[in-house]
Amino acid sequence: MKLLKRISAAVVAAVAIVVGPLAGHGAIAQEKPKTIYLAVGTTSSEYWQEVIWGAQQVANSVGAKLEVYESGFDGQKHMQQLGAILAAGCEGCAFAWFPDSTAFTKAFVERAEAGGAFMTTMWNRPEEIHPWDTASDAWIANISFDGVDSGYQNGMALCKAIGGKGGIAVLKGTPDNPPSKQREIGLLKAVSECPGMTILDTQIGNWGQTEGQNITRTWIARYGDQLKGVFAQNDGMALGAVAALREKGLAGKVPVTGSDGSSDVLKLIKSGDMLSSMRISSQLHGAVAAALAYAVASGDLKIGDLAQAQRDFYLVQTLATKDNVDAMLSAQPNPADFSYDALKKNFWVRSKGQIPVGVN
Amino acid sequence: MTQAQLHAHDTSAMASPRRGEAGTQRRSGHIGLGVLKSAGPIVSLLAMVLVFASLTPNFVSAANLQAILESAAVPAVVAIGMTFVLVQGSIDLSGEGVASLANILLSILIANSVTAHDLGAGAIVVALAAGLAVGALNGTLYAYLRMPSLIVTLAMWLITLGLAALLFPSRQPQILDGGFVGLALHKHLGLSALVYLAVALAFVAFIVERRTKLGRIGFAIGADEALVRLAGVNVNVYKVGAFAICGCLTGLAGILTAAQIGVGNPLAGEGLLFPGIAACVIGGTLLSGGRGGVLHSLVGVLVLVTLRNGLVQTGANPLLQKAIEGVVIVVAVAASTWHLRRKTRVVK
Amino acid sequence: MSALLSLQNISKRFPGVHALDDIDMELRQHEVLGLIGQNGSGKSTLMKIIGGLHQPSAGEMRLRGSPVRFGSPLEATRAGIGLVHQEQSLIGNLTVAENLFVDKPTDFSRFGFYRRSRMNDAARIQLDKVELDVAPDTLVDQLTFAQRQMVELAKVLSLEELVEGHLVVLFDEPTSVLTPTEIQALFRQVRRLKMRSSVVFISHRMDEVLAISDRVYVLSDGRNVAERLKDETDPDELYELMVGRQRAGSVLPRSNPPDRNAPKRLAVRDLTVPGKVEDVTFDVASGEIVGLIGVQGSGAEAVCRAIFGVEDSHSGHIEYEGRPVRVSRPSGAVGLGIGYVPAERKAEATMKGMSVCQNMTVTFGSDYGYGGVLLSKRRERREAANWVERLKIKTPSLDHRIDQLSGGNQQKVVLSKWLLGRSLRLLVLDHPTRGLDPGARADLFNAIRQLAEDGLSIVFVGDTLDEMVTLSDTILVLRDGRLSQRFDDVQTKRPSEEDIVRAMV
Repeated sequence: MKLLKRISAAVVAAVAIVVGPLAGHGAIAQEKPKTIYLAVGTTSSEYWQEVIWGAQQVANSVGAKLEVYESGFDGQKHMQQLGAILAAGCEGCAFAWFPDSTAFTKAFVERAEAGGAFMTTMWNRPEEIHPWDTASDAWIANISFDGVDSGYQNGMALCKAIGGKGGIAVLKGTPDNPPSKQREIGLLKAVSECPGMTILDTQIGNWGQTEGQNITRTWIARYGDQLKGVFAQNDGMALGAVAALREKGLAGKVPVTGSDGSSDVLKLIKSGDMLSSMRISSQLHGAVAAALAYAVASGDLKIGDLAQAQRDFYLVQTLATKDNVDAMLSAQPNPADFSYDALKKNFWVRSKGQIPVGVN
Repeated sequence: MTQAQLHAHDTSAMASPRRGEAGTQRRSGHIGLGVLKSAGPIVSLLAMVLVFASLTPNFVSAANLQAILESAAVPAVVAIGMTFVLVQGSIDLSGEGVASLANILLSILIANSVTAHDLGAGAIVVALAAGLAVGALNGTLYAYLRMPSLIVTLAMWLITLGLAALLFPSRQPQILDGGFVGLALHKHLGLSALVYLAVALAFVAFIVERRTKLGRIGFAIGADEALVRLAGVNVNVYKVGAFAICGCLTGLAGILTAAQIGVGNPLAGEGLLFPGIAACVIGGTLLSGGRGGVLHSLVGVLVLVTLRNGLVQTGANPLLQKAIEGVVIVVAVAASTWHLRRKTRVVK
Repeated sequence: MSALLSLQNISKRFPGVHALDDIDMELRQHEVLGLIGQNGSGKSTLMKIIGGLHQPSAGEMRLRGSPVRFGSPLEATRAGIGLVHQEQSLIGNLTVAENLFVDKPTDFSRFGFYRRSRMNDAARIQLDKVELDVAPDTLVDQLTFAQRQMVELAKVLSLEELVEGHLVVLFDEPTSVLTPTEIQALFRQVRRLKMRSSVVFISHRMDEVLAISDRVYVLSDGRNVAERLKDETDPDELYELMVGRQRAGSVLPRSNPPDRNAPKRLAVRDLTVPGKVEDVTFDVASGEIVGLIGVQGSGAEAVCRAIFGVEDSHSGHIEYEGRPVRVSRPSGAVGLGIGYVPAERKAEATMKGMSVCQNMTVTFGSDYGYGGVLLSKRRERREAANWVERLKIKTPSLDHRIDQLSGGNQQKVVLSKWLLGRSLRLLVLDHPTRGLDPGARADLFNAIRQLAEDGLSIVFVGDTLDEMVTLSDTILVLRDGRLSQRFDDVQTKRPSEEDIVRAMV
């Protein structure tokens, strides 16, 4: 009996030790969160490294800690991580989250709502749900980049580069995913405005360098001189396409477009091996997602006050071409521009407007 | 008449049918030439070439055949390494991580746009050594600690991917060493050095497989490890050897990928594992071990690469391509294992 | 003569079995020592202890006067002890030459690369010793069972060149799968070996043991029961020492001969298996026992395998119970009521690691269940226990692992697997007595005879002429894949063994 009592006393003490500070932490968090939780697809890519950098600047400026969760694009893994964080008690926490695919978005925001936390999402939102109609007390905003615009601008650049006439080939990311779909819609719009430009073939390259290279090699063999340009939906596949063209001495002669604007691609644009890429403000993406989540969690913003255009929007992006690439390469992001106070003046100053219907 | 008396009937006539039988075995017994045990994989490959060629004449053009060989070079290097592990009846899943690690190690140590290192050829040595070390570690954990190779290498996959991510300098390093990138660019007879390298490796691997104790005992381990141990052979050494070869070649594949793209990528190994294992199996190397070999796996690689090339060449619906690939893999594996069918007399 | 190898008070215990109990044995120089005993008497265990595969639980072993203890077969090999295994130990996908030298230190490789021609030349010398005419670079998989047995022998003989001094060579039932000519070749080798080694020779065939040995030990239930000099004993005495009963009349005569007008159970017409059998035609009546015999490569085994549907291809016409059938796989044959006991039971007929009961009931266990769907463990076990008793299977329990039984007992388990089948009407036996001691063989023959009298038809391939004339109603002799002669009504008009041999060669 005595032993039992002693054990139960020990258990109670242990629970108190574990739960105590967490409960306290939750209470403080409603005023000023000490941690910002950021979910990323991978840490092994320049884009995501810049997202992390942007969010880090925000965290630094408010004296909070940034915790980064990587999934390798495995939604289940992010789900487990989110579950673990919330299970420890995380009322009022700030999450800047990357849903690995649209299939997970709803589950993530509803989890956050059930846990009493606040969440901004990046990229993936299913067409039929929005922050104002789903888990609307927790889901602050969805922040993305305009894929249709990327496809259209790259397409028009390609049209101009081939003199408005000739066949191009398209490297698609995956069969069904919003950025892939949007960039294709944009390209088709460009093709309709540039009737001399025709699509010879579309292949799925799974966003990868090696697949982009193998497919482009086959196109070169199949179409020969008919292949006037390659439209790649991201920089990775564009790199592969350039590598395949380089093997045949065609790099720079057959224009290639990409999307993301990573530094290695900017260098290829500068050297003339590549035509263009849509440069997205990845640091800004991470910073705005983190700042909005922090703003609501700390009480600086009230979800109820936000308009729809403030809760589902695109950020600015610039088409990188030979004309502006030098400026882009030399520009060093200034941490001060990404501090919470700088962003707080107007979180939406670099918004490109509400995401239209029908593109997700 | 007792049995002993019967034995005393030592007639030369009784011996004659056996002599004849043994004679036929002598003719079919040579394995030194390394003839593929079954024509199945080659037939699948040729059948596929014929089908694609009839659909689009451009398929058999010199330019396209070059494209196929260039695309086959890296998967071939992976499949050669994998073969040594598979014939022992083990498996190595760590390939994607090992290739990624070697890729990023190389691209930050050779002249590049991000870090200040420039070890030149030393970078290649370091990256290869990393692959070799990981492979040897895989083999050691598996053979000496008796952990299943599936689990050991799965864990090593994650470990190496994590190391690659740690080493990634947050900007993709562009490789500035012209000689290294030239491996993939400078052509001799229309083919890059990578293709010649893959062919040379295949030749060396074939010799190792057929002419060295490492290769031969590997087959025996796959057939019946218990018997090999009983014969007093130090089985563990050969297991570690096979995994080390596999790790080293997988690392090389990661290095070659860097030469092809000219940019370091901590995820460069993605998509190498499945084609590597599938190629071995399509070629007739059994996952259960003891059968197949380097040449089989090379044919398997050509089947896979030719298939992907041909589907693009003939303009097959991209959404259907995965499904077609799956069907062809099933058919090819069936063809390569057809000769084993109904052989209930498999004696181990 | 001094003792080369001596064993004192050797005992070996396995879980549940006391395999050897206080064995003393002495092997002198230039001596062939015969070792006989029933299945399970401990002969193979004793061989394995000497060969380093097992370590004794108690007792001492001395080699050339000094105590030894072998931790592995390799240590025994290095000390000059070679074991020709009963169950074969060759690696199928290596060549003959590689197998010969895999367990020995050689100079056939330089920097890890084989010098194949040198290795093959060395192998050639060893193969010539056993008069085996196969190329050294043949894969072992492509050899027949008997050829592999000769390779096993060659593997041990190659110790001659590698080890200084006197060798110990152990033969664990080497003759059970060999043809008479091959046995003669083996005996010549054993006699030659005596020049520089001592030999321990195990066989079930008493006459063989007496023909080759200088001295004989008899084991029973893990103990030495007798030691005899060759010239002071005869087969009948040895048999009595071994099983404790008289040899003659152990197989019962057939009480009612099969009805020759009974409906045919099986009619085989122009059966051809490419490369093995040509145009073989015969009938099997219900309740008839048909024995097939021929020298190695005569095609007798292939006939059996074709009937059961396990040959890769065959042509011809097979009628079963008046209907033409095309058996293309074993499950089809089983469905028709045909059972098959293969010769290579280690690889084909036993499920290693599973129990005696599980092995027995795998095919027909459902016959004893409910409605052919639900199994009944209780009824299965009762039936299995029944056959363990009838065939005198020596096993600690029904749940003992089959691979821990002696070879003969394994064979009995395999046979009872089929005997469990109520729908069984034709049983094909490929060398059913291989590895069985005389006592077990008599039990088996009586069981087979009883089954035939109950109407089961039997086709079997035999090893010895003795078993052919003892068991068969009809004997078919094959030569080079063709039927060379048939002997009808064997039980009433016994053919002479000379006649049969003449037809075989």
